Amino acid sequence: MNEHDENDALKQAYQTAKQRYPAPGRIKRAVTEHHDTGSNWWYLLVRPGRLPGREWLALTAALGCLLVLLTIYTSPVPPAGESKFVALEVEYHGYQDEINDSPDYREKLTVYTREYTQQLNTLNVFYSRPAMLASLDGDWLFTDCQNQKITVSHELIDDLRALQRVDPALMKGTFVALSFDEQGRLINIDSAPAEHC
Amino acid sequence: MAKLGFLRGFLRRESTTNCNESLFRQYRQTGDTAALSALYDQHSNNLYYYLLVMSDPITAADVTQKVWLKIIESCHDYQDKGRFQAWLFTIGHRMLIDEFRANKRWQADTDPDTLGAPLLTNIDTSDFHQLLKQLPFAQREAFSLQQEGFSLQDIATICSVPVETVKTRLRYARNTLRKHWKES
Repeated sequence: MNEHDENDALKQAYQTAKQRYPAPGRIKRAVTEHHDTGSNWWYLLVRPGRLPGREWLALTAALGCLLVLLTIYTSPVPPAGESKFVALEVEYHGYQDEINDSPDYREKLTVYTREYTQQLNTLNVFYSRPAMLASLDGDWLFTDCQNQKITVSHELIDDLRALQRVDPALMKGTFVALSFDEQGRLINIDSAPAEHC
Repeated sequence: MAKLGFLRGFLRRESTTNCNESLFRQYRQTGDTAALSALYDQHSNNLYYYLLVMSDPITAADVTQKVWLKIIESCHDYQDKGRFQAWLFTIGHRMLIDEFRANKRWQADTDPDTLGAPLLTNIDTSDFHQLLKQLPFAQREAFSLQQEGFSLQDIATICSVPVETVKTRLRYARNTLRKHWKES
């Protein structure tokens, strides 16, 4: 048998093996149940035809009020001392031993210790910042609304992911909300609507 | 003749990809349960088997379900330029790794940066599934993803490794399987 035939035989063997292990039916039931019970509320909003006119108007007004209140009470307070970083072009978030390798140009370095991940559950979000995920090859690179670059080290991303603090659906080009603690340390990366920028 | 076969395969893949994309677009725009169900039927066995090869039946079922719930929640973040199947498996890969890490099951063999060596002890080498499971994590993953129709570049993106690394893993995996697999 030549290499090409052998590869075909392996391919065939893989497909045959796959047929022996189909996905359990309960998964589909759980997925469609989840879809049918509430997770598709979004479509009620994007398809006004499903709601009668008066209810739609009332819902829009209520959402508007809620949005105004949220904007007033939750507008991000910049951490103390951030103003001195305004002129900086690059931010780098990573562990102490990685930062030594980072390029030496105008940048704000946020240093993390290994104990940081153990404290993560007790840290509170102090402010949140919208950005776009520009690259996820090795270190992750984000661009914020002011076009500033934010680099997060690969190791830090791995640790955040292990603690389910990075949305697994993120892809290059996704808009995200970067959440920071009081010391400016990154504690969560979640997807966010593009219009936040 | 071989070229014609390749062309047919390519066209079949392209038409399946376009079908996936339009089904997902339909689902994203309308929330149509039928579109979700069609997408699920098309991909769930592939995703489940990939996860099963990489873990165990309980973890595979658990992660498969979580991936689909994530798809429902995040469908508005999906980038049109990407391929739905690649996005689905990327989420699957990440959730599986997260699951291993959360349960402290991240060992040398499950570390995708290690090439590792196959175990091959006391197994029936005519059972392809069992043989596949003996490969080191990284090789098993690269091989499974290739069998699911992903290109080298796709696999590199899903696993966050360079294309050359994928080629090496595939070469090792195929060599081991060719050497030990006995067709019954």
